[in-house]
Amino acid sequence: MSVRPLLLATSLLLTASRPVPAFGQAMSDSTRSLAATASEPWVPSGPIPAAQPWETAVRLPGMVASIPFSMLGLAMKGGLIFVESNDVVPKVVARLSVLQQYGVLAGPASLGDRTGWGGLVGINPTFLRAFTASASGSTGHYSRASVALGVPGASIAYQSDWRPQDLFFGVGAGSRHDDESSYASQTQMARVELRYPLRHAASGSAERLEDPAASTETHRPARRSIRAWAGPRDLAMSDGRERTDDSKPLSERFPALASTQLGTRVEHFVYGAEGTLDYRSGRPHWWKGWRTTVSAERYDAPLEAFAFHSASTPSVEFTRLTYEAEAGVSFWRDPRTFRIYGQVIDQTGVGNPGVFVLPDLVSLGGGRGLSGFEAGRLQDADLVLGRVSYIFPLARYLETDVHAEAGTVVPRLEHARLNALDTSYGVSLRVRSPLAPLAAAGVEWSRETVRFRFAIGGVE
Amino acid sequence: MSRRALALAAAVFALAAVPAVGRPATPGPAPKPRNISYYYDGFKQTVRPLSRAFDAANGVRKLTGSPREAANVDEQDQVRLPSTWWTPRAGFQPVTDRDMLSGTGGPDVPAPAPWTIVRAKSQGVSPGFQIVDANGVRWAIKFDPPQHPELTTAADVITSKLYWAAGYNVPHNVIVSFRREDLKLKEGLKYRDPLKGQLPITEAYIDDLLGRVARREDGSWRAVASRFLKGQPLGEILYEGRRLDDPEDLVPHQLRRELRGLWAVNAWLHHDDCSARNTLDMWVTENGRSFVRHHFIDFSGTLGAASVTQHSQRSGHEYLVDFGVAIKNLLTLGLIRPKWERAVDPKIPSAGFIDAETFDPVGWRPFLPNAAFDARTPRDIRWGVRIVSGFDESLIRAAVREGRLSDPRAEEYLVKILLERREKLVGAWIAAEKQAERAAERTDR
Repeated sequence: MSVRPLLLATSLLLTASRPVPAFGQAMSDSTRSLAATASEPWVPSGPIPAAQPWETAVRLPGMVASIPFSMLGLAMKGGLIFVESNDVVPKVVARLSVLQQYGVLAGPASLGDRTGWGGLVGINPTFLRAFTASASGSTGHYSRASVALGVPGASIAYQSDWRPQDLFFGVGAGSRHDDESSYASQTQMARVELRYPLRHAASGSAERLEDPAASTETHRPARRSIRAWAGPRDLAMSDGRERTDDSKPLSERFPALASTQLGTRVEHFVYGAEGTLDYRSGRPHWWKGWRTTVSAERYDAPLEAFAFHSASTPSVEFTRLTYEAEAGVSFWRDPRTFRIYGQVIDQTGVGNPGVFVLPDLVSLGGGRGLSGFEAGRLQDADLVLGRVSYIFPLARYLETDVHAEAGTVVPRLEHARLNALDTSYGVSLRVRSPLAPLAAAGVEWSRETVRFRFAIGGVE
Repeated sequence: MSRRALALAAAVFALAAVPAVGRPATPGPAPKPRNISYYYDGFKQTVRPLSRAFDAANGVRKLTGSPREAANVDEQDQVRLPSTWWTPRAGFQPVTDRDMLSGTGGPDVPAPAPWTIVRAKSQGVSPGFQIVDANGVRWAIKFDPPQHPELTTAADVITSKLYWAAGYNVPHNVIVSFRREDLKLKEGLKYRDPLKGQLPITEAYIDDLLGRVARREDGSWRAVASRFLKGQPLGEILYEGRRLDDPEDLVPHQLRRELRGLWAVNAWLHHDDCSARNTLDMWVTENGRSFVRHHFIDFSGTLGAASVTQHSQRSGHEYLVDFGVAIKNLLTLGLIRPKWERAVDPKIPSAGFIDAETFDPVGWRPFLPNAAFDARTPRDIRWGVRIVSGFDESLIRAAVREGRLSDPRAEEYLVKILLERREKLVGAWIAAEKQAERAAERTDR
């Protein structure tokens, strides 16, 4: 029914029924009777209880059972009152902005799966904004240090990584979960990179929004980028630090393999190029368009002039080709989005003479795909991975990502078979602002295990 | 004007404000001012639907269909009077446009320049300051966000008028205009910097503040001036429990009809930011009596405005964190499209977003759950809708006109939407009663 006839009918009704001296008293002075009273108000003979006796009795068991929650609530009350009365939030925000102003960087670390809680600190001095130096560390004793000097369109960087206990289960899709082992690796790399366009277009919005569904961005210009890089890389492996009944050092679980891998230093001169076409757009998560990336990276023989230690290491020269594509469509205002993603990595030359170190194998499991498997659970020369996701809103600042992945690792791409793909499924809850997803936490499961995952930042 | 003259003017005004008859006696002890944590209040209200869901007594009441009715009503189901919370006005006795406009302060505006800034806040989402005008009257000055000129200031004024006419106690809000040279700084003013502590408020600080808010093309600023309430502030009203040191506060607030029925008024005006932070108890002395008067303040989150931006289409349909909606969406994979997603934004910046098409007169929800609203029963709602039904087009139009909207489309749109929302509320709750009353009147004749 249209509102207009209803409006007319009710207006007539109301007009006819006004004025309404509901209390019957004479109102000689309308303004006076309309004023707020200063008279003693009506009050009951005594305080009215908030709950009747039977309500209190019925609630009693629940009240007893919820004592821990009540205590938690009390503690939270005290904490929040303290935070608010001491201006903790503005002080923290102000301090962080002062730190940024002075070029101090601080934030969570991105060291990968199974690395524990981590943080990053660094500097980006005000007198030399092109320079950045940072160090990351985690409770799992993973660490990274990097320095970089960048100008629009070019950068030169050095990075050193220490990973004490990455997992290895054997090579190939047929490897067994029971064969879990760990190894440590120390990597350092230097890289010169050129890229175009010289700067990334800013995608921020000055618009202040109350709701993610109120975002007005429906289109972003296409981003086309290319980049090329070159530089030496040095990698040395040792036995893993993780020693449990289930997880043994590589040398105990795979002694033959360990004898060639551990203690061997491998250097490469790495160069490559990558091109990306990105037509994705939408907020709070990207909900339409597509992206494709093709990259080729050559791990060549080390150059004497650029080698970290020695150019004569038993390196295997190989080439890695990576193809990635994803697309998304959505419907309705608070977007319900279907996404499809595919990745193929094809490495050639893996079988060449020399030592092909385990970290150079491609892997699935954890954040690299097939998230329901342990990180690094499947490793081999090549991989095929596909993912479909459905992202839908739960509440104003919450959305859910339901996804399924299928993929496998193979010695050569032509060995990949659809019926041999492993599958993994997951559900994650994502906290979002009006402009972007902020964090995610969820559960992933596969035929082998159930994993809990979380991420702060970096959620698409 | 010298400070001495200002003080004299303030004293004269203060004396003039006291009624000649019944000069105050020595006031009794005032209740202790309350200072709540807005963070905690927000958290508590957010999780309260969960605790309600597990409340056995609430479950028994639902199963047996016997909700607890308001505790301060008489045999006719009306609020027992007198009340320091509410005064019967629209819907209960005739209220004219003039009554409404003079009720909160009439044409009273801050006296002409200079305005002396006595307090200022540049940081935060809503910058503003407090002034003392040439007559010594203190006003809070608030602005529009730069992206939405006129939106929040108009909402603040319009809703304050309508709220007064609905029977509630509100400050006198009025649209004002000033230029930079109209302002002067009180000497020795300071603000609190989160890192450096107390710092002097300088002219540059005020310039920075004014640079963050909407400004007119002619270089002047439009703002809402909210006159300070009489008395001594005691802090917020809680929508649950009582102020234990107030001997006149004997009814738990969630059992008060005026608060439960306020849901209908808020639904009508789309006042979704109706948490404790937008209320203020004042200890006043009038006619020889000192008592707590309960006020509602800050209406910048009403009508189409959401304080620093416009309302989203979702507002009024879901709480900030709405567990019920989230569970429903989870179970249905978000495939049941909520009504609000079909709402059409009129694209009138100074009107913001408020609509009648998707307005739910039965299930409207504020931004955060509200204890008194959660306890409401159909009787409370019908009482509130009776108030809403007392607003005719003339009254609504008069209030909207006070918003001084420069875009005539905005004024027309707000009047139209308020009429349509009123009809939906009346249609859902009391249309049958109204028709029955009319039929009875005809029979009597």
